Amino acid sequence: MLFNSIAYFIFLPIVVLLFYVIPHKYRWALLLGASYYFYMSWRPEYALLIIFVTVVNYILGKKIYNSDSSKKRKVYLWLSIISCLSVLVVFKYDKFIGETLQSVFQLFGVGFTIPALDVILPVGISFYTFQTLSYTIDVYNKKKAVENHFGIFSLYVSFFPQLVAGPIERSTRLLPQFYQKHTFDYQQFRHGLQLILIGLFKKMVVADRLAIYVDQVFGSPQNYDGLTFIVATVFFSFQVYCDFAGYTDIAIGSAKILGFDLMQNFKRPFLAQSLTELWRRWHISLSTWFRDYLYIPLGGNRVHLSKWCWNIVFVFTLCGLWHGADWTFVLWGTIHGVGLVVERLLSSIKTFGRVIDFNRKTKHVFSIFATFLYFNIALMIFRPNNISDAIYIINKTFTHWGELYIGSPAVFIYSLFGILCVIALDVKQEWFDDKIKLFHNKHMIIRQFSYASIVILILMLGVFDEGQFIYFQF
Amino acid sequence: MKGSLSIFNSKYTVLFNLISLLIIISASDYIVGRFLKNYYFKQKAGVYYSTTYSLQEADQDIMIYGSSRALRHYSPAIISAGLGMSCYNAGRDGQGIFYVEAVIKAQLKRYTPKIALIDLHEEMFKYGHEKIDRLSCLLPYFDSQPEIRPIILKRSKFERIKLLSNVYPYNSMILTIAKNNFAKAGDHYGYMPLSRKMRPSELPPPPKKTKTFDKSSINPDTIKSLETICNMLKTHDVKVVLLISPYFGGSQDPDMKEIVKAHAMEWSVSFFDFSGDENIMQDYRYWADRIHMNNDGAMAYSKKINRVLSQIY
Repeated sequence: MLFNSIAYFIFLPIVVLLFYVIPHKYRWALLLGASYYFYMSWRPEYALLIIFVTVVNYILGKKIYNSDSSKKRKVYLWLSIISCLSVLVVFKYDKFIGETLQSVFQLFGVGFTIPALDVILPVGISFYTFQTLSYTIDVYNKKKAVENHFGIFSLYVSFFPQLVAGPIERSTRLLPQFYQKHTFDYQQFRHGLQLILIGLFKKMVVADRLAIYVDQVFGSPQNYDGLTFIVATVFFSFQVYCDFAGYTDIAIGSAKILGFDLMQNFKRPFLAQSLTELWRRWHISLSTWFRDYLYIPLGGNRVHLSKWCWNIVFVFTLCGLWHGADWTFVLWGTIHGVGLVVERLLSSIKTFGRVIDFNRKTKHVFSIFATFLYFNIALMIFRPNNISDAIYIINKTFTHWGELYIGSPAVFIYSLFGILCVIALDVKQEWFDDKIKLFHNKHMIIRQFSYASIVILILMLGVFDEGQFIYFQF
Repeated sequence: MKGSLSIFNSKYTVLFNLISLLIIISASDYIVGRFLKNYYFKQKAGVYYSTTYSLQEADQDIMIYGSSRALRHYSPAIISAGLGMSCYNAGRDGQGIFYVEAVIKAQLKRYTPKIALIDLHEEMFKYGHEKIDRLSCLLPYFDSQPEIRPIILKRSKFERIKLLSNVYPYNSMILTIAKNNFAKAGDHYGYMPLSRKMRPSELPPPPKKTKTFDKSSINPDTIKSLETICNMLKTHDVKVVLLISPYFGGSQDPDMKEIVKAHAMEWSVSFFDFSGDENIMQDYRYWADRIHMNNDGAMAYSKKINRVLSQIY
């Protein structure tokens, strides 16, 4: 079931109504049933994977918690990690690993074929496996007591607002909320609806509109020139942002209506003034997951600079691999890792900042632009269908600008309008949130007309093909 | 007492806010929807006007139906002059057989053409959600043309709910509506010629013949729709001609043609295959791209159609 479908807007009010009507002690069962229904409306058989991950990690979590031997605890932790990663390897990376091994062996003159499973990637697999892993690692690190209630633990793994594309929650944040008694709170309800509305706008008016142009260009790059690739990449950066941030807004909004508080996942990333800041604003739940469960255990900031550089590149390469089973994603992650290393090395050269004496505002604008530019260059590798397309696109971009492909002028203008709306929204939230108030205006009539305007814009300019969210494939 | 009173008041505030919001949204939707509808049906040029004309006003003897290939390949002026009958091109970019069915259903309610030329594109019969999705161009006619509602409702099971909105039928149309309200009325009888000419440098490689024909790629609903169209037209004594116009370098999917040919024989309708026409398919000057002929190509092809039709009718 997609957040941008009519089915979801029939499903959600029913769940919300039942949630507040039934006694607190049965609510977990309602949410668990609703979550499985939500997931199984896509492909029922893949719910078995969630059940597998849930059962295995529930048992291993208990074993870790109850064991006194540190050796045994470590074994159970590794079993948990292997069980989650094996699900990912089998259902997400099997073809990628097979093809890579084949290529490596071919280099040594050994030719063989590894048969691929040829299964459809289960939606949200990377999200719920990582969320479940965070639980067992937290239990191992004694940051979280074991969860004894199997139903509540199952709900933690499968909670529908964030099941298929995050935010990747932490057991320490989400599990206790299932025990709290939530009463209907109008302010929270209103805030939830506002987020859903903004999320739908980002997804339907901006992301899905941009997708029309982006898919056309990246689908057959041989037909286009460098200038078109530049425009398509900038469009894609806003598409992927609005697609994912839109999904997250709807997820957080849906949870808020039910009284749950999910973590923030995006914080106006395109206004970041450095790559480091960008990763504090972009997909926050994933970047903090890698920080907490990989980067810090590797030594964090407390290691020698050379080891730190290696660690950052390694973590971001894995982060790239998390996004998809292709070398384009791996390389994208590595580029971000290298960018962060270079950024730190440059900032450690004290004189670097004084080479050009910018005033503060110019420096901010320049930094924002430079960060956005680097992010887009990396996307030129992320978006193409394969490495050879990526090389072709980058080569064309730097050698032959040619003519700009517009396609349908109406679609192009709607796309630009959507981008302008998102920039305006982000700039307002970043710098003028207290000065311009629409959804939070003290006059009810202004609030109501603000909501109505968004609804009309969605109806007038939204794409109603119920397009998939990009991050479902990750 | 004071506490319960405040809860009572807050409940009414919530209810009042929700009801007032619904009223404002409904009123805005109504006003904007009426505005768009007014200007949509005021258009006298462009693709939306062509659809309105095909559904609600067309009364020509010969009607041409199909996708962008029909729209770009058949010149009504030439066909009309050749056969001495009036002619209109009701083809539309990006559309398939369901759109053709809708147009014919709407027309047969009003009048009966003498000859129906249906241009078939190999892709028309294959699965692809976007073909159903593109039926959104019929949404403005949901209220006024009840006979085409079942076709519009193929879009999704929630289409009726979406159609509660007055704005939704005109989704993504505002710029085109605005532009076409200022445009000069067209005089091509629906035909929209392409002026672009392919350059020798951009000649595509010759099409690869499909090695194994995958029957499962055919959507049986499209074949059924074509059968419905043929039966409807025959019931009204309309002469039906199924055509496949040329492809640059020849057909990509010869097996599909055989299927259409077999069905045409079964349904007792005429079928002409020009997809491999030697004079047209090899001459790049007749083509705008691999799928679409330009105006020169359309003129040459329309003359050929005339010769064939004049022998039959």
